[in-house]
Amino acid sequence: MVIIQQKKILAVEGDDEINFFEALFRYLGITNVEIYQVGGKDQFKNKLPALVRTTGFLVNVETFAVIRDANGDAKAAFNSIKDILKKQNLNPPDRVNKFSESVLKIGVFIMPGRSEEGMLEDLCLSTVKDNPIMQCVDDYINCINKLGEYPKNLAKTKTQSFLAAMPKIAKSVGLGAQMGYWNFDSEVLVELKLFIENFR
Amino acid sequence: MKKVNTMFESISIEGLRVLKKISIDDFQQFNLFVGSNNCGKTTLLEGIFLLSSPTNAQLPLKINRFRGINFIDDYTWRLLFKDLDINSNIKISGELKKPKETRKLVIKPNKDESIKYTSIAKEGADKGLIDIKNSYSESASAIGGLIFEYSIKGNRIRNHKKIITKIFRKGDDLEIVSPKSYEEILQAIFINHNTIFGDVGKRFNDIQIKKQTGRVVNVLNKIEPSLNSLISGTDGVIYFDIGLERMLPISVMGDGIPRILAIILAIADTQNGIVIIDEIENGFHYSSQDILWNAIINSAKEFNVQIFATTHSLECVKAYSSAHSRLYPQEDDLRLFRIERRKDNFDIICYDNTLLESSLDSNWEVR
Repeated sequence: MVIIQQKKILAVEGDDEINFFEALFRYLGITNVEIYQVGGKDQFKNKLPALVRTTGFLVNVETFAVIRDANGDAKAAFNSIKDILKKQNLNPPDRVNKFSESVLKIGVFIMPGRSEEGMLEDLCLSTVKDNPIMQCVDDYINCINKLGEYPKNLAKTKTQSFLAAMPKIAKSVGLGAQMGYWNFDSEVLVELKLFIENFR
Repeated sequence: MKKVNTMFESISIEGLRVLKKISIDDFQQFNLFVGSNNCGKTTLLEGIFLLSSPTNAQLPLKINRFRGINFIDDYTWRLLFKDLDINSNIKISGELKKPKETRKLVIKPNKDESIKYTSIAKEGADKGLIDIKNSYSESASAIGGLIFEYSIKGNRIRNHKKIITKIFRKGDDLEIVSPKSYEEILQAIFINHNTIFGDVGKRFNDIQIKKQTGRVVNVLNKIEPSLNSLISGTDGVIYFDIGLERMLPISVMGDGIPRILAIILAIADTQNGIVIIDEIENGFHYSSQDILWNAIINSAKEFNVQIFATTHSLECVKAYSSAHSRLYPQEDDLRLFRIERRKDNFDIICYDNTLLESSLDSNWEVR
């Protein structure tokens, strides 16, 4: 059974996010952050209250953040997390992608950021938008569109296509991050990096 | 059977043993306490027990005895007080549901009865189980006993005057001054590893007299479907019938079933009351925890009893959650409370069964 021993805790949707943020923290030189996944966006409601009750949380944690995808509505995603945290008598931030200032500092970031719709995959694709391979990815999408195939989740299809072009194929966006295929120097990550600096 | 739901909804304890101040609300029918050693779990149970029978002045001696303290001297009384400090009273209050009432109990040192004891050790008090000793030291002021000041607010009681009970030493005996007009509606039993088999024979007799044996058999049937009946032999042994040519003594079932039976009998004998079980997992193999909770939940529902228990065992917590989910998936009447102690601060982390399942599913520690 897992006991929380660190002062810095991040809650994310799934394994892919764990892999992505582990890589990003490593890249930024931020250490000692424990990352927990809730098992999908629909599980925040059950899992966040459980996570903040885990043995060691109350005693040890000083900085706690939740990062989830906006999907169709960034504002609704933020409010949903905020409500869950408030019900646990915690003090979430009033504004998205910010931290609250209290004994337990709490932050909520909605990906891809800038209050846009989307998800982690959109953010990753944005970091490589100038990569020549992306033209091939767009051409591929156009090609299948002409055949009458319209991928249900375009961002996921594009990331898979992009990763398929890499020297060693990464099966997911998180593993792609672990293998250094996304551009962590990209300007599109500025807002996320600013948020994550709170873990330093 | 009329159900009266005489359940505790909340409790607040101040100055009892290690507990400087602790408050818990949201008690349900099933309440399991976890937490590290010396976080106050057993003391919390003792507080609930004291408030269940707040005019029974012998209870402090009983709860001492549960901890293996089988003697009385001025130090024995002090053991109840935080840091042995008799200048601060013990305060226990709680809310009952149906009849809705608030109970307040203040336990004070009986300084008036402080005397310099001259005689030494005497057997005989409290059914011969307690040894009265004299260890009065000139360096500390002695107390001769305790004073219970109890008050209730609620529809049941019109007169809200304080009810006073006293227990103190008089010579080499214990003297108890009890209120005449107060009738307690709650019944509570405290079980721990050492006392679990203590009253089994008596409880089974009570249950037979109350014609409740069939209901106990019904509960046991869910564990052992072939069990037809239970009887008490003249030898004091409980025998069971599983359709063989003769009945078998319960002891042949190993240690687990007799323990489960002892708990079921306590529950059946405390109908509409409270059963308190310290370190409930003791004596049970980890694989039997599910059977144990199955029996406890079934019998507590059958006899309308509120359960308070403590454990250190993860298997016990898992079985508690899964047995309840399986038996009563629609009912939100289970709680797990973790007590987190930081010096003299006690934080309570409360889980309902949905949260508990979420934590166990993710392998996040709840104890």
